Amino acid sequence: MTLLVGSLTIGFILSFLAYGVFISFQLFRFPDLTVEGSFTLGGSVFAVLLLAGMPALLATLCAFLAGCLAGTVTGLLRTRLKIDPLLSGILTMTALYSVNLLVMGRSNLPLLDQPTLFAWAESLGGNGTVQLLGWTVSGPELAALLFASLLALVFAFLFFLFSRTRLGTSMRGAGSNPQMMRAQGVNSDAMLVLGLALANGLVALSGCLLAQYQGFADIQMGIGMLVLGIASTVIGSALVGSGSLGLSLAGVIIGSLLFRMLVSIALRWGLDPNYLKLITAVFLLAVLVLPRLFQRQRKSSREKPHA
Amino acid sequence: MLELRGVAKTFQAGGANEVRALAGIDLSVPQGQFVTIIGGNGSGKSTLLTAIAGSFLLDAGSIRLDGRDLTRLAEYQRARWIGRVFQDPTLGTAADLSIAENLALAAQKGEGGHLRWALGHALLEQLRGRLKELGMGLEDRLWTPIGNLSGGQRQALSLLMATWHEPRLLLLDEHTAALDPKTATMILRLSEEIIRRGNLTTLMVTHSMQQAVNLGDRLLMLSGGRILHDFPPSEKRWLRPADLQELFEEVRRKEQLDPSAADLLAAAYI
Repeated sequence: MTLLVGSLTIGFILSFLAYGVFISFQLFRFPDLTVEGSFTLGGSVFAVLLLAGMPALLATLCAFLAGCLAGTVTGLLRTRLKIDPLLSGILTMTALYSVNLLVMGRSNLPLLDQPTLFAWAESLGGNGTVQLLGWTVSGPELAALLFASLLALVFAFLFFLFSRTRLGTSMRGAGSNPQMMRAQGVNSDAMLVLGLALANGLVALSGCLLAQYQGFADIQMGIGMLVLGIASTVIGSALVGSGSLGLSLAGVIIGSLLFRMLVSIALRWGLDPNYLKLITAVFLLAVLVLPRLFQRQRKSSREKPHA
Repeated sequence: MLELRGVAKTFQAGGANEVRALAGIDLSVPQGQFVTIIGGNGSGKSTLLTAIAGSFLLDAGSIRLDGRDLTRLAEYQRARWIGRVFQDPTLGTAADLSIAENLALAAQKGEGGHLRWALGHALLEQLRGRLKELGMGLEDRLWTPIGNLSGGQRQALSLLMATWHEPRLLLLDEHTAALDPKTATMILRLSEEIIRRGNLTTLMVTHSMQQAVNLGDRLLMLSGGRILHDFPPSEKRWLRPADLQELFEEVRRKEQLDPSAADLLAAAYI
Protein backbone atom coordinates (compact mmCIF):
# COMPACT_ATOMS: atom_id res chain seq x y z
CA MET A 1 0.00 0.00 0.00
CA THR A 2 2.86 2.33 0.81
CA LEU A 3 4.19 1.55 -2.62
CA LEU A 4 0.88 2.49 -4.22
CA VAL A 5 0.60 5.74 -2.27
CA GLY A 6 4.21 6.59 -3.11
CA SER A 7 3.80 5.94 -6.80
CA LEU A 8 0.56 7.94 -6.95
CA THR A 9 2.32 10.85 -5.26
CA ILE A 10 5.12 10.73 -7.81
CA GLY A 11 2.50 10.37 -10.54
CA PHE A 12 0.85 13.62 -9.46
CA ILE A 13 4.24 15.35 -9.19
CA LEU A 14 5.18 14.19 -12.68
CA SER A 15 1.85 15.36 -14.07
CA PHE A 16 3.41 18.86 -14.11
CA LEU A 17 6.10 17.43 -16.37
CA ALA A 18 3.38 15.85 -18.49
CA TYR A 19 1.56 19.20 -18.80
CA GLY A 20 4.80 20.84 -19.89
CA VAL A 21 5.35 18.19 -22.54
CA PHE A 22 1.68 18.42 -23.49
CA ILE A 23 2.18 22.11 -24.30
CA SER A 24 5.41 21.76 -26.29
CA PHE A 25 4.90 18.37 -27.90
CA GLN A 26 1.13 18.11 -28.36
CA LEU A 27 0.03 21.74 -28.78
CA PHE A 28 3.08 23.05 -30.65
CA ARG A 29 4.35 19.71 -32.06
CA PHE A 30 7.77 20.85 -30.90
CA PRO A 31 10.09 17.98 -29.85
CA ASP A 32 11.58 20.01 -27.03
CA LEU A 33 14.64 18.29 -25.57
CA THR A 34 15.15 21.26 -23.23
CA VAL A 35 12.93 19.24 -20.88
CA GLU A 36 15.83 16.93 -19.98
CA GLY A 37 17.81 19.91 -18.71
CA SER A 38 15.05 22.05 -17.26
CA PHE A 39 13.74 19.19 -15.09
CA THR A 40 17.12 19.00 -13.37
CA LEU A 41 17.32 22.79 -13.35
CA GLY A 42 14.16 22.95 -11.25
CA GLY A 43 15.65 20.54 -8.72
CA SER A 44 19.07 22.17 -8.58
CA VAL A 45 17.86 25.78 -8.32
CA PHE A 46 15.43 24.82 -5.59
CA ALA A 47 18.02 22.82 -3.63
CA VAL A 48 20.63 25.55 -3.70
CA LEU A 49 18.20 28.32 -2.74
CA LEU A 50 16.65 26.28 0.06
CA LEU A 51 20.05 25.37 1.49
CA ALA A 52 20.95 29.07 1.32
CA GLY A 53 18.02 29.75 3.64
CA MET A 54 15.24 30.82 1.28
CA PRO A 55 11.69 29.75 2.24
CA ALA A 56 10.57 26.63 0.33
CA LEU A 57 7.61 28.30 -1.36
CA LEU A 58 9.75 31.12 -2.74
CA ALA A 59 12.47 28.70 -3.84
CA THR A 60 9.81 26.67 -5.67
CA LEU A 61 8.67 29.80 -7.48
CA CYS A 62 12.27 30.58 -8.44
CA ALA A 63 12.69 27.03 -9.82
CA PHE A 64 9.60 27.58 -11.99
CA LEU A 65 10.96 30.88 -13.27
CA ALA A 66 14.36 29.33 -14.01
CA GLY A 67 12.57 26.75 -16.16
CA CYS A 68 10.65 29.52 -17.95
CA LEU A 69 13.98 31.16 -18.73
CA ALA A 70 15.39 27.94 -20.19
CA GLY A 71 12.28 27.56 -22.37
CA THR A 72 12.60 31.17 -23.50
CA VAL A 73 16.17 30.52 -24.63
CA THR A 74 15.06 27.54 -26.74
CA GLY A 75 12.15 29.56 -28.12
CA LEU A 76 14.40 32.46 -29.11
CA LEU A 77 16.93 30.11 -30.72
CA ARG A 78 14.07 28.76 -32.81
CA THR A 79 12.28 31.99 -33.72
CA ARG A 80 15.06 34.60 -33.81
CA LEU A 81 17.98 32.54 -35.07
CA LYS A 82 15.84 30.11 -37.14
CA ILE A 83 17.55 27.06 -35.68
CA ASP A 84 15.88 23.71 -36.25
CA PRO A 85 13.44 22.83 -33.40
CA LEU A 86 15.23 19.64 -32.40
CA LEU A 87 18.62 21.34 -32.46
CA SER A 88 17.46 24.38 -30.43
CA GLY A 89 16.33 22.01 -27.68
CA ILE A 90 19.54 19.99 -27.83
CA LEU A 91 21.64 23.17 -27.55
CA THR A 92 19.81 24.41 -24.48
CA MET A 93 19.75 20.93 -22.91
CA THR A 94 23.50 20.51 -23.36
CA ALA A 95 24.27 23.95 -21.98
CA LEU A 96 21.94 23.32 -19.03
CA TYR A 97 23.98 20.28 -17.95
CA SER A 98 26.90 22.57 -17.15
CA VAL A 99 24.61 25.22 -15.73
CA ASN A 100 23.14 22.65 -13.35
CA LEU A 101 26.58 21.52 -12.21
CA LEU A 102 27.58 25.15 -11.71
CA VAL A 103 24.43 25.88 -9.72
CA MET A 104 24.75 22.86 -7.45
CA GLY A 105 28.53 22.86 -7.24
CA ARG A 106 28.49 19.04 -7.29
CA SER A 107 26.40 16.29 -8.78
CA ASN A 108 24.09 15.63 -5.83
CA LEU A 109 22.56 17.77 -3.09
CA PRO A 110 20.73 16.04 -0.23
CA LEU A 111 17.67 17.80 1.19
CA LEU A 112 16.90 15.47 4.08
CA ASP A 113 15.67 17.23 7.23
CA GLN A 114 15.28 20.45 5.26
CA PRO A 115 12.04 22.49 5.47
CA THR A 116 10.72 21.51 2.03
CA LEU A 117 7.05 21.78 1.03
CA PHE A 118 6.71 18.02 1.31
CA ALA A 119 8.36 17.99 4.75
CA TRP A 120 5.69 20.52 5.75
CA ALA A 121 2.88 18.46 4.20
CA GLU A 122 4.11 15.24 5.83
CA SER A 123 4.27 16.93 9.20
CA LEU A 124 0.55 17.67 8.87
CA GLY A 125 -0.05 13.92 8.62
CA GLY A 126 1.19 13.32 12.18
CA ASN A 127 3.11 10.22 13.17
CA GLY A 128 0.34 7.63 13.26
CA THR A 129 -1.19 5.41 10.67
CA VAL A 130 -4.55 5.70 8.95
CA GLN A 131 -6.92 2.90 8.01
CA LEU A 132 -7.93 3.44 4.40
CA LEU A 133 -10.25 0.94 2.71
CA GLY A 134 -8.87 -1.76 4.96
CA TRP A 135 -5.24 -0.90 4.35
CA THR A 136 -2.87 0.67 6.81
CA VAL A 137 -1.26 3.81 5.44
CA SER A 138 1.23 5.98 7.27
CA GLY A 139 -0.08 9.46 7.99
CA PRO A 140 2.81 11.41 6.47
CA GLU A 141 2.67 9.34 3.27
CA LEU A 142 -1.04 10.01 2.91
CA ALA A 143 -0.57 13.73 3.62
CA ALA A 144 2.10 13.90 0.92
CA LEU A 145 -0.25 12.22 -1.55
CA LEU A 146 -3.10 14.59 -0.74
CA PHE A 147 -0.78 17.58 -1.04
CA ALA A 148 0.58 16.46 -4.43
CA SER A 149 -2.89 15.65 -5.77
CA LEU A 150 -4.25 18.98 -4.58
CA LEU A 151 -1.41 20.84 -6.33
CA ALA A 152 -1.90 18.90 -9.56
CA LEU A 153 -5.69 19.23 -9.64
CA VAL A 154 -5.69 22.95 -8.81
CA PHE A 155 -3.11 23.52 -11.51
CA ALA A 156 -5.05 21.45 -14.06
CA PHE A 157 -8.16 23.53 -13.36
CA LEU A 158 -6.24 26.82 -13.69
CA PHE A 159 -4.68 25.62 -16.93
CA PHE A 160 -8.10 24.70 -18.25
CA LEU A 161 -9.34 28.22 -17.46
CA PHE A 162 -6.25 29.79 -19.05
CA SER A 163 -6.76 27.74 -22.21
CA ARG A 164 -10.16 29.34 -22.66
CA THR A 165 -8.97 32.93 -22.40
CA ARG A 166 -8.13 34.93 -25.51
CA LEU A 167 -4.42 34.46 -24.89
CA GLY A 168 -4.79 30.72 -24.24
CA THR A 169 -6.90 30.26 -27.37
CA SER A 170 -4.36 32.21 -29.42
CA MET A 171 -1.58 30.04 -28.04
CA ARG A 172 -3.40 26.85 -28.97
CA GLY A 173 -4.25 28.31 -32.38
CA ALA A 174 -0.59 29.20 -32.97
CA GLY A 175 0.38 25.63 -32.13
CA SER A 176 -2.23 24.23 -34.47
CA ASN A 177 -1.69 26.60 -37.41
CA PRO A 178 0.90 29.39 -37.07
CA GLN A 179 0.26 30.70 -40.62
CA MET A 180 -3.42 31.21 -39.89
CA MET A 181 -2.66 32.96 -36.61
CA ARG A 182 -0.35 35.44 -38.37
CA ALA A 183 -3.15 36.10 -40.84
CA GLN A 184 -5.37 36.80 -37.81
CA GLY A 185 -2.91 39.35 -36.47
CA VAL A 186 -1.23 37.22 -33.80
CA ASN A 187 2.56 37.06 -33.49
CA SER A 188 2.96 33.29 -33.81
CA ASP A 189 6.65 33.45 -32.89
CA ALA A 190 5.87 35.17 -29.61
CA MET A 191 3.25 32.51 -28.91
CA LEU A 192 5.82 29.75 -29.44
CA VAL A 193 8.29 31.43 -27.08
CA LEU A 194 5.53 31.89 -24.50
CA GLY A 195 4.44 28.27 -24.90
CA LEU A 196 7.96 26.90 -24.48
CA ALA A 197 8.60 29.16 -21.49
CA LEU A 198 5.42 27.96 -19.78
CA ALA A 199 6.16 24.34 -20.72
CA ASN A 200 9.67 24.36 -19.30
CA GLY A 201 8.55 26.29 -16.25
CA LEU A 202 6.15 23.45 -15.49
CA VAL A 203 8.84 20.85 -16.17
CA ALA A 204 11.19 22.63 -13.75
CA LEU A 205 8.37 22.84 -11.20
CA SER A 206 7.95 19.09 -11.54
CA GLY A 207 11.68 18.51 -11.02
CA CYS A 208 11.66 20.81 -8.02
CA LEU A 209 8.72 19.00 -6.42
CA LEU A 210 10.30 15.61 -7.08
CA ALA A 211 13.55 16.76 -5.45
CA GLN A 212 11.52 17.86 -2.41
CA TYR A 213 9.66 14.56 -2.23
CA GLN A 214 12.71 12.34 -2.73
CA GLY A 215 14.90 14.47 -0.48
CA PHE A 216 17.69 15.20 -2.95
CA ALA A 217 18.49 16.93 -6.25
CA ASP A 218 20.67 15.04 -8.68
CA ILE A 219 22.38 15.97 -11.94
CA GLN A 220 20.98 12.83 -13.58
CA MET A 221 17.35 13.31 -12.59
CA GLY A 222 16.30 14.79 -15.96
CA ILE A 223 17.46 11.92 -18.14
CA GLY A 224 14.62 10.26 -20.02
CA MET A 225 12.06 12.80 -18.83
CA LEU A 226 10.96 13.82 -22.34
CA VAL A 227 10.02 10.25 -23.25
CA LEU A 228 8.31 9.87 -19.88
CA GLY A 229 6.27 13.02 -20.48
CA ILE A 230 5.34 11.98 -23.99
CA ALA A 231 4.34 8.52 -22.73
CA SER A 232 2.04 10.09 -20.14
CA THR A 233 0.32 12.41 -22.61
CA VAL A 234 -0.02 9.67 -25.23
CA ILE A 235 -1.53 7.20 -22.76
CA GLY A 236 -3.85 9.94 -21.59
CA SER A 237 -5.14 10.78 -25.03
CA ALA A 238 -5.41 7.08 -25.93
CA LEU A 239 -7.56 6.46 -22.85
CA VAL A 240 -9.66 9.58 -22.60
CA GLY A 241 -9.50 10.75 -26.19
CA SER A 242 -8.83 14.27 -27.35
CA GLY A 243 -12.41 15.14 -28.19
CA SER A 244 -12.48 18.25 -26.06
CA LEU A 245 -9.99 20.43 -24.25
CA GLY A 246 -11.21 19.40 -20.79
CA LEU A 247 -10.90 15.71 -21.65
CA SER A 248 -7.40 15.99 -23.05
CA LEU A 249 -6.25 17.98 -20.01
CA ALA A 250 -7.73 15.39 -17.66
CA GLY A 251 -6.09 12.70 -19.76
CA VAL A 252 -2.66 14.14 -19.02
CA ILE A 253 -3.02 13.57 -15.26
CA ILE A 254 -4.59 10.15 -15.74
CA GLY A 255 -1.81 9.15 -18.13
CA SER A 256 0.86 10.31 -15.70
CA LEU A 257 -0.68 8.37 -12.78
CA LEU A 258 -1.25 5.23 -14.82
CA PHE A 259 2.26 5.27 -16.16
CA ARG A 260 3.75 5.63 -12.69
CA MET A 261 1.62 2.72 -11.44
CA LEU A 262 2.81 0.51 -14.29
CA VAL A 263 6.40 1.38 -13.45
CA SER A 264 6.00 0.55 -9.77
CA ILE A 265 4.23 -2.71 -10.60
CA ALA A 266 7.09 -3.65 -12.90
CA LEU A 267 9.61 -2.85 -10.16
CA ARG A 268 7.55 -4.82 -7.66
CA TRP A 269 7.77 -7.84 -9.94
CA GLY A 270 11.49 -7.68 -9.58
CA LEU A 271 12.45 -5.61 -12.64
CA ASP A 272 16.06 -4.48 -12.45
CA PRO A 273 15.89 -0.65 -12.13
CA ASN A 274 18.68 -0.48 -14.71
CA TYR A 275 16.15 -1.57 -17.32
CA LEU A 276 13.67 1.14 -16.40
CA LYS A 277 14.43 3.54 -19.25
CA LEU A 278 14.48 0.66 -21.74
CA ILE A 279 11.08 -0.50 -20.52
CA THR A 280 9.81 3.08 -20.68
CA ALA A 281 10.89 3.41 -24.30
CA VAL A 282 9.45 0.02 -25.29
CA PHE A 283 6.24 0.83 -23.47
CA LEU A 284 5.88 4.17 -25.28
CA LEU A 285 6.53 2.40 -28.57
CA ALA A 286 3.76 -0.08 -27.77
CA VAL A 287 1.32 2.70 -26.89
CA LEU A 288 2.12 4.48 -30.15
CA VAL A 289 1.92 1.42 -32.39
CA LEU A 290 -0.77 -0.79 -30.87
CA PRO A 291 -3.81 1.44 -31.55
CA ARG A 292 -2.77 1.61 -35.21
CA LEU A 293 -2.40 -2.18 -35.39
CA PHE A 294 -5.84 -2.63 -33.86
CA GLN A 295 -7.30 -0.25 -36.40
CA ARG A 296 -5.71 -2.13 -39.27
CA GLN A 297 -7.01 -5.42 -37.88
CA ARG A 298 -10.50 -3.99 -37.58
CA LYS A 299 -10.37 -2.61 -41.09
CA SER A 300 -9.15 -5.86 -42.63
CA SER A 301 -11.77 -7.91 -40.77
CA ARG A 302 -14.44 -5.52 -42.02
CA GLU A 303 -13.24 -5.98 -45.59
CA LYS A 304 -13.63 -9.74 -45.51
CA PRO A 305 -16.50 -10.40 -43.12
CA HIS A 306 -16.82 -14.11 -43.92
CA ALA A 307 -13.18 -15.00 -43.62
CA MET B 1 -6.40 52.64 -51.58
CA LEU B 2 -3.53 50.22 -52.17
CA GLU B 3 -0.33 51.58 -53.72
CA LEU B 4 2.64 49.50 -54.84
CA ARG B 5 5.79 51.23 -56.11
CA GLY B 6 8.63 49.27 -57.76
CA VAL B 7 7.92 46.13 -55.78
CA ALA B 8 10.73 43.62 -56.44
CA LYS B 9 11.76 40.31 -54.95
CA THR B 10 14.36 37.74 -55.99
CA PHE B 11 14.50 34.36 -54.24
CA GLN B 12 17.83 32.55 -53.73
CA ALA B 13 19.64 35.63 -55.04
CA GLY B 14 23.08 34.80 -56.40
CA GLY B 15 22.44 31.04 -56.24
CA ALA B 16 22.03 28.61 -59.11
CA ASN B 17 18.27 28.55 -58.59
CA GLU B 18 17.84 32.31 -58.55
CA VAL B 19 14.22 33.23 -59.23
CA ARG B 20 13.21 36.78 -60.05
CA ALA B 21 9.68 36.47 -58.73
CA LEU B 22 8.67 40.14 -58.80
CA ALA B 23 10.50 42.44 -61.19
CA GLY B 24 9.28 45.90 -60.28
CA ILE B 25 5.53 46.16 -59.96
CA ASP B 26 3.67 49.49 -59.86
CA LEU B 27 0.00 49.31 -59.03
CA SER B 28 -2.70 51.56 -57.60
CA VAL B 29 -5.99 50.08 -56.53
CA PRO B 30 -8.66 52.57 -55.44
CA GLN B 31 -10.86 51.88 -52.43
CA GLY B 32 -13.60 49.37 -53.20
CA GLN B 33 -12.13 48.07 -56.43
CA PHE B 34 -12.25 44.30 -57.07
CA VAL B 35 -9.22 43.19 -59.10
CA THR B 36 -8.75 39.75 -60.60
CA ILE B 37 -5.21 38.60 -61.38
CA ILE B 38 -4.21 35.90 -63.86
CA GLY B 39 -0.93 34.61 -65.19
CA GLY B 40 0.89 31.37 -65.94
CA ASN B 41 2.90 29.31 -63.47
CA GLY B 42 5.76 31.35 -62.05
CA SER B 43 4.32 34.62 -63.34
CA GLY B 44 4.44 36.04 -59.80
CA LYS B 45 0.72 36.32 -59.17
CA SER B 46 0.70 34.43 -55.87
CA THR B 47 4.05 35.94 -54.85
CA LEU B 48 2.52 39.38 -55.31
CA LEU B 49 -0.22 38.55 -52.81
CA THR B 50 2.19 37.05 -50.26
CA ALA B 51 4.41 40.13 -50.67
CA ILE B 52 1.48 42.42 -49.85
CA ALA B 53 0.50 40.19 -46.91
CA GLY B 54 4.07 40.39 -45.65
CA SER B 55 5.19 36.76 -45.58
CA PHE B 56 8.61 38.05 -46.69
CA LEU B 57 10.23 41.47 -46.93
CA LEU B 58 10.84 43.14 -50.30
CA ASP B 59 14.23 43.65 -51.97
CA ALA B 60 13.03 47.00 -53.28
CA GLY B 61 9.88 49.08 -53.54
CA SER B 62 7.13 50.09 -51.17
CA ILE B 63 3.62 49.01 -50.21
CA ARG B 64 1.12 51.53 -48.86
CA LEU B 65 -2.44 50.93 -47.76
CA ASP B 66 -4.65 53.96 -47.13
CA GLY B 67 -1.50 56.06 -46.93
CA ARG B 68 0.05 53.82 -44.28
CA ASP B 69 3.48 52.42 -45.14
CA LEU B 70 3.39 48.63 -44.67
CA THR B 71 6.73 47.88 -46.32
CA ARG B 72 8.67 47.11 -43.11
CA LEU B 73 5.81 45.70 -41.03
CA ALA B 74 5.64 42.02 -40.07
CA GLU B 75 2.93 39.79 -41.45
CA TYR B 76 0.95 39.68 -38.21
CA GLN B 77 1.05 43.48 -37.91
CA ARG B 78 -0.33 44.00 -41.43
CA ALA B 79 -3.08 41.48 -40.68
CA ARG B 80 -4.82 44.22 -38.72
CA TRP B 81 -5.92 45.74 -42.04
CA ILE B 82 -5.60 42.78 -44.39
CA GLY B 83 -7.86 39.72 -44.63
CA ARG B 84 -6.51 36.69 -46.41
CA VAL B 85 -7.85 33.40 -47.77
CA PHE B 86 -5.38 30.75 -48.94
CA GLN B 87 -5.62 28.21 -51.72
CA ASP B 88 -5.26 25.35 -49.25
CA PRO B 89 -8.43 25.16 -47.10
CA THR B 90 -6.41 23.72 -44.18
CA LEU B 91 -4.27 26.90 -43.99
CA GLY B 92 -7.06 29.30 -43.11
CA THR B 93 -8.33 27.59 -39.98
CA ALA B 94 -6.80 25.81 -36.97
CA ALA B 95 -7.78 22.13 -37.27
CA ASP B 96 -7.51 21.28 -33.56
CA LEU B 97 -9.75 24.11 -32.40
CA SER B 98 -13.53 24.08 -32.59
CA ILE B 99 -15.55 26.15 -35.06
CA ALA B 100 -16.48 28.54 -32.26
CA GLU B 101 -12.88 28.98 -31.10
CA ASN B 102 -11.63 29.60 -34.63
CA LEU B 103 -14.23 32.29 -35.17
CA ALA B 104 -13.45 33.75 -31.76
CA LEU B 105 -9.84 34.20 -32.84
CA ALA B 106 -11.06 36.15 -35.87
CA ALA B 107 -13.45 38.20 -33.73
CA GLN B 108 -10.72 39.22 -31.25
CA LYS B 109 -8.33 40.27 -34.04
CA GLY B 110 -6.65 43.55 -33.22
CA GLU B 111 -8.17 43.69 -29.74
CA GLY B 112 -6.36 43.37 -26.41
CA GLY B 113 -7.88 41.87 -23.27
CA HIS B 114 -5.70 38.79 -23.33
CA LEU B 115 -7.05 37.34 -20.12
CA ARG B 116 -10.71 37.80 -20.97
CA TRP B 117 -12.72 34.76 -22.03
CA ALA B 118 -12.29 33.97 -25.70
CA LEU B 119 -15.97 33.08 -26.01
CA GLY B 120 -18.51 35.19 -24.18
CA HIS B 121 -22.24 34.72 -24.33
CA ALA B 122 -22.80 37.68 -26.66
CA LEU B 123 -20.11 36.51 -29.05
CA LEU B 124 -21.60 33.00 -29.22
CA GLU B 125 -24.95 34.48 -30.22
CA GLN B 126 -23.22 36.56 -32.88
CA LEU B 127 -21.35 33.48 -34.18
CA ARG B 128 -24.60 31.55 -34.50
CA GLY B 129 -26.13 34.38 -36.48
CA ARG B 130 -23.24 34.67 -38.90
CA LEU B 131 -23.01 30.91 -39.36
CA LYS B 132 -26.72 30.72 -40.05
CA GLU B 133 -26.25 33.19 -42.92
CA LEU B 134 -23.84 30.73 -44.53
CA GLY B 135 -26.70 28.23 -44.75
CA MET B 136 -24.45 25.23 -44.12
CA GLY B 137 -25.97 24.11 -40.83
CA LEU B 138 -22.71 24.88 -39.02
CA GLU B 139 -24.49 26.93 -36.34
CA ASP B 140 -25.48 23.64 -34.69
CA ARG B 141 -21.94 22.29 -34.73
CA LEU B 142 -20.12 25.09 -32.88
CA TRP B 143 -17.97 22.71 -30.82
CA THR B 144 -16.89 20.42 -33.66
CA PRO B 145 -13.14 20.55 -34.30
CA ILE B 146 -12.67 22.31 -37.65
CA GLY B 147 -10.39 19.49 -38.80
CA ASN B 148 -13.50 17.29 -39.12
CA LEU B 149 -15.12 19.55 -41.73
CA SER B 150 -14.93 19.30 -45.51
CA GLY B 151 -12.65 21.52 -47.60
CA GLY B 152 -15.58 23.61 -48.80
CA GLN B 153 -16.89 24.18 -45.28
CA ARG B 154 -13.42 25.11 -44.04
CA GLN B 155 -12.97 27.52 -46.95
CA ALA B 156 -16.33 29.16 -46.24
CA LEU B 157 -15.25 29.60 -42.60
CA SER B 158 -11.84 30.95 -43.70
CA LEU B 159 -13.67 33.53 -45.78
CA LEU B 160 -15.93 34.42 -42.88
CA MET B 161 -12.90 34.76 -40.57
CA ALA B 162 -10.88 36.84 -43.05
CA THR B 163 -13.76 39.31 -43.37
CA TRP B 164 -15.16 39.18 -39.81
CA HIS B 165 -14.03 42.75 -39.21
CA GLU B 166 -14.29 44.30 -42.67
CA PRO B 167 -10.62 44.45 -43.76
CA ARG B 168 -9.21 47.42 -45.68
CA LEU B 169 -7.85 44.91 -48.20
CA LEU B 170 -8.94 41.36 -48.98
CA LEU B 171 -6.47 38.93 -50.59
CA LEU B 172 -7.91 35.80 -52.22
CA ASP B 173 -5.18 33.46 -53.44
CA GLU B 174 -6.77 30.91 -55.81
CA HIS B 175 -9.10 30.20 -52.95
CA THR B 176 -11.40 27.92 -54.94
CA ALA B 177 -8.70 25.99 -56.82
CA ALA B 178 -8.63 23.08 -54.37
CA LEU B 179 -12.42 22.62 -54.32
CA ASP B 180 -14.80 20.61 -56.49
CA PRO B 181 -16.64 22.69 -59.14
CA LYS B 182 -19.95 22.87 -57.27
CA THR B 183 -18.35 23.95 -53.99
CA ALA B 184 -16.08 26.36 -55.87
CA THR B 185 -19.12 28.09 -57.37
CA MET B 186 -20.74 28.35 -53.96
CA ILE B 187 -17.59 29.84 -52.38
CA LEU B 188 -17.22 32.28 -55.28
CA ARG B 189 -20.79 33.46 -54.92
CA LEU B 190 -20.25 33.90 -51.17
CA SER B 191 -17.01 35.83 -51.80
CA GLU B 192 -18.68 38.15 -54.26
CA GLU B 193 -21.56 38.81 -51.89
CA ILE B 194 -19.21 39.64 -48.99
CA ILE B 195 -17.04 41.86 -51.20
CA ARG B 196 -20.02 43.77 -52.61
CA ARG B 197 -21.73 44.17 -49.26
CA GLY B 198 -18.62 45.56 -47.56
CA ASN B 199 -17.38 47.38 -50.69
CA LEU B 200 -14.04 45.71 -49.96
CA THR B 201 -10.87 46.48 -51.88
CA THR B 202 -9.98 43.02 -53.19
CA LEU B 203 -7.19 41.27 -55.07
CA MET B 204 -8.16 37.81 -56.32
CA VAL B 205 -5.65 35.50 -57.99
CA THR B 206 -7.22 32.84 -60.17
CA HIS B 207 -6.14 30.29 -62.75
CA SER B 208 -9.59 30.23 -64.31
CA MET B 209 -10.10 32.63 -67.23
CA GLN B 210 -13.83 32.25 -66.83
CA GLN B 211 -13.59 33.56 -63.25
CA ALA B 212 -11.14 36.28 -64.24
CA VAL B 213 -13.51 37.59 -66.89
CA ASN B 214 -16.78 37.20 -65.00
CA LEU B 215 -15.70 38.56 -61.61
CA GLY B 216 -14.34 41.88 -60.53
CA ASP B 217 -13.97 45.37 -61.98
CA ARG B 218 -10.43 45.21 -63.30
CA LEU B 219 -8.12 42.51 -64.63
CA LEU B 220 -4.35 42.21 -64.39
CA MET B 221 -2.29 39.74 -66.34
CA LEU B 222 1.17 38.98 -64.95
CA SER B 223 4.16 37.44 -66.65
CA GLY B 224 7.74 37.11 -65.49
CA GLY B 225 7.06 39.12 -62.35
CA ARG B 226 5.66 42.11 -64.25
CA ILE B 227 2.21 43.42 -65.05
CA LEU B 228 1.82 42.58 -68.73
CA HIS B 229 -1.74 43.78 -69.25
CA ASP B 230 -3.98 45.95 -67.10
CA PHE B 231 -7.60 46.09 -68.21
CA PRO B 232 -9.49 48.91 -66.48
CA PRO B 233 -13.25 48.54 -65.87
CA SER B 234 -14.11 50.20 -69.21
CA GLU B 235 -12.15 47.58 -71.17
CA LYS B 236 -12.67 44.57 -68.93
CA ARG B 237 -16.40 44.67 -69.60
CA TRP B 238 -15.82 43.60 -73.21
CA LEU B 239 -13.26 40.87 -72.50
CA ARG B 240 -14.12 37.27 -73.33
CA PRO B 241 -12.24 34.14 -72.12
CA ALA B 242 -11.10 33.59 -75.72
CA ASP B 243 -9.31 36.96 -75.70
CA LEU B 244 -7.38 35.96 -72.61
CA GLN B 245 -6.57 32.60 -74.14
CA GLU B 246 -5.02 34.43 -77.09
CA LEU B 247 -2.93 36.63 -74.81
CA PHE B 248 -1.73 33.54 -72.96
CA GLU B 249 -0.65 31.90 -76.21
CA GLU B 250 1.27 35.01 -77.13
CA VAL B 251 3.12 34.96 -73.80
CA ARG B 252 3.88 31.28 -74.21
CA ARG B 253 5.36 31.82 -77.67
CA LYS B 254 7.58 34.58 -76.34
CA GLU B 255 8.75 32.52 -73.36
CA GLN B 256 9.72 29.61 -75.58
CA LEU B 257 12.26 31.72 -77.43
CA ASP B 258 15.36 32.85 -75.63
CA PRO B 259 15.75 36.63 -75.63
CA SER B 260 18.59 36.84 -78.22
CA ALA B 261 16.69 34.64 -80.68
CA ALA B 262 13.62 36.80 -80.14
CA ASP B 263 15.69 39.90 -80.98
CA LEU B 264 17.03 38.29 -84.16
CA LEU B 265 13.52 37.30 -85.21
CA ALA B 266 12.19 40.76 -84.50
CA ALA B 267 15.01 42.32 -86.53
CA ALA B 268 14.38 39.98 -89.46
CA TYR B 269 10.62 40.44 -89.62
CA ILE B 270 10.05 44.03 -88.69
